Order: sequence, then structure tokens, then C-alpha cells
Amino acid sequence: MSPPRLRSIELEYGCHSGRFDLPDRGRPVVISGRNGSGKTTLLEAFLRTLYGFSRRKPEERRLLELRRPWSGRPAEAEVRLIAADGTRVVVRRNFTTDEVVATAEQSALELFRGDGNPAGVRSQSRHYQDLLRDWIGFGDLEPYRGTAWIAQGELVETKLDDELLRAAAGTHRRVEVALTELRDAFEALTREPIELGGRRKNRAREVENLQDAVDDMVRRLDVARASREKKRPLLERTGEIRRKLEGVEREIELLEAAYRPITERRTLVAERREAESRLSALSDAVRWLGETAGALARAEAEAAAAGVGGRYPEDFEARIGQAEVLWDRLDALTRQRAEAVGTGPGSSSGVPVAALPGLAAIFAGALVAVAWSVAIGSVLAVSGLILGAALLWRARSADAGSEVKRARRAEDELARIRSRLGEIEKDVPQPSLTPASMEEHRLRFRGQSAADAGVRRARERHLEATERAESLLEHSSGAGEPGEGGEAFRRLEEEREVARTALARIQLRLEEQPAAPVLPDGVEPTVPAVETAREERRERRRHLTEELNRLDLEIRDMDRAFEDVFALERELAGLREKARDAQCEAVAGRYAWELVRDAYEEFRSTDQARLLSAINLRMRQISGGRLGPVETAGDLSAAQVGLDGRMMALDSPPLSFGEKHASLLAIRLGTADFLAGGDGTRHPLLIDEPFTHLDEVRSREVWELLEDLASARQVIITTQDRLVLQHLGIEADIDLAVPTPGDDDSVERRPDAERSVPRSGGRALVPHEDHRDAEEAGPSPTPPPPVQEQLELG
Amino acid sequence: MMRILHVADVHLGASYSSFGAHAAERSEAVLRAFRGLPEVAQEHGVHAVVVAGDLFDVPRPEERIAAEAREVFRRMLEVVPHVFLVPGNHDPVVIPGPYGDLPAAAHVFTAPTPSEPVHVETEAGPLTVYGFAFDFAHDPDPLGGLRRSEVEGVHVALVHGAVRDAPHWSGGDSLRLTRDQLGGFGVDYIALGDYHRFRPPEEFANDGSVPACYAGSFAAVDHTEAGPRGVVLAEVAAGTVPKVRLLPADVAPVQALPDVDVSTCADDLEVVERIAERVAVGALPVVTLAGQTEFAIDPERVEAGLLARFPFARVRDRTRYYDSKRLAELTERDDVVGHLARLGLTRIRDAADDDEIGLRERALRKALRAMGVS
Repeated sequence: MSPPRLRSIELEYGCHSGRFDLPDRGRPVVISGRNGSGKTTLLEAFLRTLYGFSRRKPEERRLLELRRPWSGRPAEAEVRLIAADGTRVVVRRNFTTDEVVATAEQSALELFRGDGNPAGVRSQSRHYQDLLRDWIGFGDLEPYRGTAWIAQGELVETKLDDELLRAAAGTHRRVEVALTELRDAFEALTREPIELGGRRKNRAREVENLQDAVDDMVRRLDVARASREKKRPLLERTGEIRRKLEGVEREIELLEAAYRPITERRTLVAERREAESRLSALSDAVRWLGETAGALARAEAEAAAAGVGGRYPEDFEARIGQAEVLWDRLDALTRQRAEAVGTGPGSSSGVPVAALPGLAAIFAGALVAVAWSVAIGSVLAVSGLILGAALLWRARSADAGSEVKRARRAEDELARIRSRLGEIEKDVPQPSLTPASMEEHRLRFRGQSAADAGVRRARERHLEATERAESLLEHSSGAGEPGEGGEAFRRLEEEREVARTALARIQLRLEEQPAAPVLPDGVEPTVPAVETAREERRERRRHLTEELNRLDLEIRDMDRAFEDVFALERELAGLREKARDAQCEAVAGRYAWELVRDAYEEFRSTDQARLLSAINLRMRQISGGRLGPVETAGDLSAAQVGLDGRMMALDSPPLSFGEKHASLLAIRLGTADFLAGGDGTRHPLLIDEPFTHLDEVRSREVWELLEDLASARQVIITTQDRLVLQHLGIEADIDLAVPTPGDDDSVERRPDAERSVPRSGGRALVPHEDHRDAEEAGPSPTPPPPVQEQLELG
Repeated sequence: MMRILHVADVHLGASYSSFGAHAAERSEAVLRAFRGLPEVAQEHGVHAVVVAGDLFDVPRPEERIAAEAREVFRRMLEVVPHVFLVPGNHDPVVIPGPYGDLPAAAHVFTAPTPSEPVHVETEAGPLTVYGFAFDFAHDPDPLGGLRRSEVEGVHVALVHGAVRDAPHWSGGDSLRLTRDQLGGFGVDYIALGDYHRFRPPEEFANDGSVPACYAGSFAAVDHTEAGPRGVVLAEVAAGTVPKVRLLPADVAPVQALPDVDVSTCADDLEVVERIAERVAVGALPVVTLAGQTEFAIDPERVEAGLLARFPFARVRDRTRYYDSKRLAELTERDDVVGHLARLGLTRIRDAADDDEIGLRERALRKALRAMGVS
């Protein structure tokens, strides 16, 4: 920031009418003129153009009235300045209306238009004051007056008010900006007030939001952990079930592993039993077939032996029976024929027999008579007697007629018998069949029959053996027609060998089987036991799996309902880091804000000391060390200055006018230095009559001091002391003549003010050429007289 | 010599929230690199692949993630027929879950305790793999059940757990291991997961008595996981010490730049330049600034400057400004800044601990910056 500089003023103000340029020569701008020439008024005009008059204060209103232009035109002025930021600004004020128009000189951009009342409280006025503060360093005239306006012989009360101290702080505006910036940054982070006792914001900011997020995450994590804890017994139960399942699975594996060998062994044992059975059956069959074959052979041999001398017919026994009957009949017939020849007729024994029914009737009658009725019994006996006699008679007559017939019939019958006997004897071995040989024949026949029966039985048994062999051979691997006995026997033998081999193989396989498969405790190594145990384990496995699935389902539901602890923990860690960062940022922001605030307060607490230090520095420079130090407990107007080791008031008699003036000058300059400290404002320093009461040596020293000041800021001085100027070899930049109403030539032209031309009717010696028209307008009719004592600003 | 691709801690589906705005991009980059694993296996003629847990970041990842894994293992099995996995503490087996959906040919150890190992015949000879799905509820110390088989060939144990002497040993529900336990397995290679830094067998025992190796995370899950990350190619032979090599994944690694001395830097921009020239191509810098600076470094500005050049950057400021000449000069000033500097220094020196010193120095820098002091 460069120090602001006043460049020119064009005005209708009091005795002045026209334009005055303030050259930048690297030394103080010097305005000279005799007493009453309006030097102080001109200086004042610069500030009043910028700051105006306060209409609320009567003295201000009276002063404004005094500044009514002598030209009769409305009081107005235009100041051109270079603001602290380098902007060239034109400020035009109408003192009648207090309207201010400010424009940027280069861009012609209107910066402000409106109420420029310094006492205004409207936002427009305040805005204008802010602009002034930016341009020139102060927004209000009072601090300017108290610091940079050094009136002739006056020490205007210097109040270290806010405005002044803002400027005095040098970086005060920077401090304000910094505090605002830090506060904004802090308040963007957190709702908490940056200072104790401040108001907490309603809306949560980043820190609170992050903390809320952390708290929420912690809650979620707690819930998730609680869920995990709730889940833990389920997990433990699932673990237990899994262990049991593993055990059951192992047992099932053992059982399944053992089942095969056990079933194989059982199968082999069964096969062995079957093989043994078959072998046994085959052996039996072989043996039986052999035995039956032998028995058959023997029976057949016996039958053959029994058949030596001829074989009896099959019905020989029947024939013998018939022959015996026939032989008996033949004997009877033979005896009858012989008897018939010996006794004749009547000798028949048939008569008594014929009388038997009659005898029976008699006997029955006797029984009836005894038992029941004599009459009936008698009748019956008589009837029987008659019947017997009749029958006896009839028999006697029949015998006599049939004797002949009977002899013939006997002969015939004998012939038939003999014929029949001949047939019976047919095919009967010798000797001839007779009753005498009958027993021999019978024995021979029975021997032959027994032999035949033996053969039949032997054959039947052989046949049975053969059929059984056939049956066995039908189940053999090489099944085929068993064939006749020998063939069957051979095949049986072969089959038996096969069976024997099979049995040997089975036995071998059995011996190759593991001795005892590993089984769960309590399970017998038998197929039923293994099957039962396996089914029981499978059932347990099913139950356990169902429970495991149910628990998994519950756990899954929990997992769905609750969040993963690990993920939440990581999210929480990230959130905590962010929250911590935000919190640190907020704390650091608060610390920074407090640091700036406290540093500023600390700095401000040294205001008085720094002010006096700056004043005393100037005092030493101005007085050559003879005066000083300046001390005051409060306001500078109450300051005391050291002289010869004593402190005394500025207006005390021991101080000469020169010493007093030097003291006042030192105080103003020191105050200006104080305000310019650091990056403070370096507003133009306006010094009225700096050489008053100073001798030429002191004047030179003051001039040199002012020259030094002018290297860092604009310094504008007024003086009426042409001798001092001459002594210092200085030519005034603006030389004012004592104005008189209607006098247009009261200002001497300065070489560098050639471009200025007197305004028509004005009293400026260097009126602006742009105002020739105004210059022709003529002088003000009756300007008020200049009253120097009324030029004071306070 | 049998070549085994050892993968662990891929953490598919992780949020990568530590990477801030870069998180989504990183998630995709990890998936891309993961998809390339079958090609890596093919390129190195791998005989078997083992995944030592935490393939997924959560037990039930998004279906999109699970589908990616299925597809990768499907293609992997076309290249390497022998793939073995154990779940980790982040992705315990759940039903239904992503492990259950992997191709059947990929062997997932789901039993909570070591059971019978799996024997396979690889092109490099017989391989026996031991593994189990650790379940704290089932058995907090299941390692006693791990018995080496007498089968000939290479024996590999697949374990997800924290070795007790590992820096991140934390307990919790993780499986806890000791070096003695690892050495006592008697196997030829122990493929470990859980610990996110690559840790070769030499770090377990110099004499090779503990043939264990942590593959580390497949890619940095958060910005603290600096250094190369990827998968391990282990060359294993029965009875010999395995040779391992880290094959970096094609995911931007986090490059830790601790103690970057910026004492001679004049401003934040120069600090950014100094850091940038030290960052490897494709890396993500995580920087700790150190040194005695003559200006108040603004780590946020530095980080913003780095973020203009790298997808992700993190700056931690450990520089000391409060002892600088510049600050000493400021304390000589008789203005607000001078008071600020003096007061700030006093408060820093009165701080109770390092954290408070850090905060107060940070505050002083902020205050000075706010006051327009560079």
C-alpha cells in the first residue's frame, strides 16, 4: 500500500474559487501567503471536501456558513487524490446538499453517489465513510484532525478513539479481516462459538456432523457387537454341532467302510456254506448213485439167478391160486365120480338139507310158544313141520333125476379143469406144475418175484439217485443232459471237483478277508449290527444337520439384520480420523483466532507507550534533545513536557512560544508516525505554520524533518513567513495573495502552476483552464470577510 | 520346483474411504488388477494358487463383486487346475455366501479345524494342502489339529491369522499364531494372510526354519499401507527353504515419503515441486514434511497442489516453523504481527505435550497467514 496523496482541488469555497494542484516534488508541498490569504482555508477545503460538515453541530453549521463562496456560487469542491491502493479518485462535494459524487478518474466509473454527510448514520453514509477509509486512511474527520491536521499553535484534543486506534494499529484492518476470516473458517467447521460466552449456532457443522456420524457409527458398532455376542452362543452351538457331525460322519465312514468287508465275509461264508452243501450233496449223490448202481446190479444178478431154469410168469401166484382151486375141484369131481359109481342115487346128502327150513320153522314156533304164545308157537311148529316134509320130498325126487346129468357135467367140468390147468401151467418152468410141485414152484416163484422186486427197488433207488444227480447237475455250471448212470456219475464226479475247487477258493477269499474291521464302539462286526448302527448314525446326522441349518438360518438372519463388525470398525476408524482432523482444525482455528485477538489486544495495550515513544522521538529531533520527554497519563492535550529536568504543562510560562510550538509539532508528527506504524495509514500530513516562533536554525531543522517525512508520505505545509522560505531556499508551490472581494489577481502564478488559470470571479491566481467559462462569469458580489480565527476546525 | 501363486487380503468390495475422492476409482482399479490374476498365473507357469483369506472385505459382498470373483476363478481354473482358498476374519464362510458360489473345482476349506489335507498331482509333482476356516466360536486354538501327512511331495499350509509378534497383533477374533507354531508344522510353505505387509520367510527366521510368508494386501486398502503390494510367487520344493518374490499388482501403490526436508523451500509451490520429483511414476504420495522452514507451510495448499498432479495425496506437516529465523524476525516487529509472533511462540513453548505443540504451531501459522504474512 502506498501512502495516499492529494493531487489537486478545484473549489468554490470561502475566499477560494479555482483549482490548485499539489505537485509531487519529493518534499513538502508549500503553500505560502500573507496573513489572511486563505492558506488554512485552502488546507481545510481539502478535508472538508472529503469529510464535509456535520449539520448536527451548530459550530459546524456556522463554519459552513462562513465558507460560503465569495463568488456567490454554491459552495462546492472537487478533490483529486491517489488512494492508498493506487486508484485515482475524484471526489466532488456539493456543500449545500452534501451530495458526494466519487468517480474513478481513469475508468470514469462512478464509485459513489449519495449522501456524504459525515454525521450520517444511514448505510449510504457509512458506505462512503468506508470508502474514505480505504482511500485516505480515515473515515471520519475527527481522527484526522486529531492526528494529521496540525493547526497553527493548536493542540487539538487527541482521543485515542476506535477510529484513531484502528489507524494506529496499523494492521487493524488486516486484523479485522484476519479475525473475520478465521471466525468464518471456524464457524464453517463447528456450531460452537469461537469465543467464550458466544452464541452457539443452531445448525450443526462439519465437526458436529462428523461427531454425530462417529456417535452413530459407535452405536451401530455396539449393536453389531451385541449382535455378535448374541450370536456367539449360536455360533458355539453350531460349532458343537459341527464337531458332533464330524464325529458322526467319521462313524458313518467307519461303518460304511466296514460294511463291505462284513457283507463280503457274510457272502463268502454263505457261499462257503452253499459250496459245502453242494459238495456234500454231490458227494452224497455220487455215493448214492454208486450204491444204488451196485444194489441194482446185485438185484439184477439175484434176479438172474432166480430165473435159472425158467422164469415164472408174472401172474404165477394167481395161477397157483387158480390151479389150487382147480386142483381142489378136480379132486372133488374125481371123488364125486368115484362116489357116484360106489353109492348110487339117494345117497345124496342133499335131502336133510332140504328139510332144514321146516326144522327152522318148528324151532321158531317152539320159541314163540315158550316165550309169547303157545298157539302161535304151535301154528308155527306145525307149519314148519309141513314145510320140512314138503321140502324133503322134493329133494328126493330131484336127486334121482339129476344123477346122470351130474355125471356128465362132472366129466365136462373135469375136461375144462384140465384144460385150464394146462393153460395155467403154460410158461411155467419144469417140473410140471402139480400140487406136489406147487410148493416148490411157489418157493421158486417167490424167490424169483423177490429178486424181481429187489431189482425194481434197486432200480427205483438208482433212478431216484440218478434223478437227484440230474437235479444237482442241472444247477451245475456245465449243465446238460446227465445221460445214463455212468455218464451221470462221471459228470457228478466232475461237478464235485468243481464244487470242491469253488469251496477252496471261497475259503481262500475268506482267509484273505481282514480279520476285524474298525468299528465304532459298541457295534458288533456283523452286518445287521453295522446296518443298524449306520442307520442310527445317519438319523443322527440328519437331525444334527437340520439343527445346524436352522441355526445357520438364525445366524444369517442376524447377519442380515446387523452389520459387519469389521467393516464398521474400519468405517469408524476413518470417521474418527476425519472427526479428529476436523476437531483439530477447529481447535487450531480457535487458537489462531484467539492468537490474533490476543496479540491485537496486547498490541493495543501498548498504544500509549508507542505513541509517546514516537512523539518523544520527534521531540528529540525537533528540539535537539533539549525538550522532552513528553508524558501524559491520558489525553495528549494534558501532556507535559520535560524541560531542564522538570515536567511542565505545554502552556506553562517556562516554555517559550518556540518551545511550545516545537512541542506541539513534535506531538503531531509523533502521532502521525504512530499512526503510520507498521502498515498503518500514511494519510497526508497537513501542517499549518510549522515555522512559527522558530528561529532560523530551528526552522531549518524542522524543514529537514519535514523533508524526511515527505519521503514516506505527503506533507503539505502553509506558511506566511517568506523570510524563512527565503532562508531555507524554498519556493512556495502555491503562493496566495490576500483576497479582497472582486480581486482576481490575488494569487501569484507559480511556474508549475502554468496550467492553472484563475477562475472568473474567483480569487485563485492559478485558475484551471477548463474553467475559462466560469472565469468569465465575474466576481462574487459580496463575499463575507475572511475570519482567520474562525478557521479552526474544532 | 513347484511354483505357487500366493494371494491374500484382496478385500474385494472394500470402501477405500481413506482415499477420499479417489476411493471409487481405486475400487475399480483393484477389481481390474484382480481380473488379471489368471494371466499372471499363466505368465509365471504357476502350478497351484492359494488364497489365504480375506478375499472379500465382508462376508456377503455385493453380488457384482461376488460375480467378479466367480469369473476370475473360473478363468483361473482354466489356467491352473489347483486352486485352494481359506476364508479370513473379514469374510468368514456364511450360507449362502460368495465362497459357496465359487467354481466347485476351487477347493475352499470350510471346516473350522484342520482336517484331512487335500492331495493333488500337479505338473510339478504331488502337492498336499492343509487349511481350515478359522472359527473362534468353534475352536480358539485349532492348530493343534494340524498334522503333517506322510505323503511325499510338497506340503503347503494355508492359514489366515496374526502372528503374535506381528506389529498389528491385536487379538480380537483373529487366529493367533506364534512363530514356534508355524515352525512346528513341518510343511514346506506356510501361506499366510491377515497381515497386510509383505513379509518373506527371512523375517520369520533367518535360518529358514519357519517357511512362512505373508503375501500382504493385494493393493493398499487404506493410505497407510505404503509400498508395493500384490501377490507372492513362491517356488517351493520339499525339504528346502522356499523362495518368494512379490509380484506387484497393477494398482497405484501408496508411496510413503517420510521426513521430506523442505527447509530450503521458499513457498508451498516449491514444496509441491520437491515432493513431486520424489514420487515414483503412478504412485500415490503420502508425505510427512520435515525440517525447519522459513515460511509457514500450508499443508492443505500443498496437498491441493499434489492432488492436481496425483489421483490421491496426503500431507502431514511435521515441519518446525516456530524456531525459524523468519519467525524470529517477525517477533522483532513492533506491530500486531510482532505481537502475534511473540505470543504464538510463547504459547507453543508453554504447551504441555507434542500434540498441543502441533496444534498451537498450526494456529500460529493460520494466524500469520490470516494476517497476510507469508
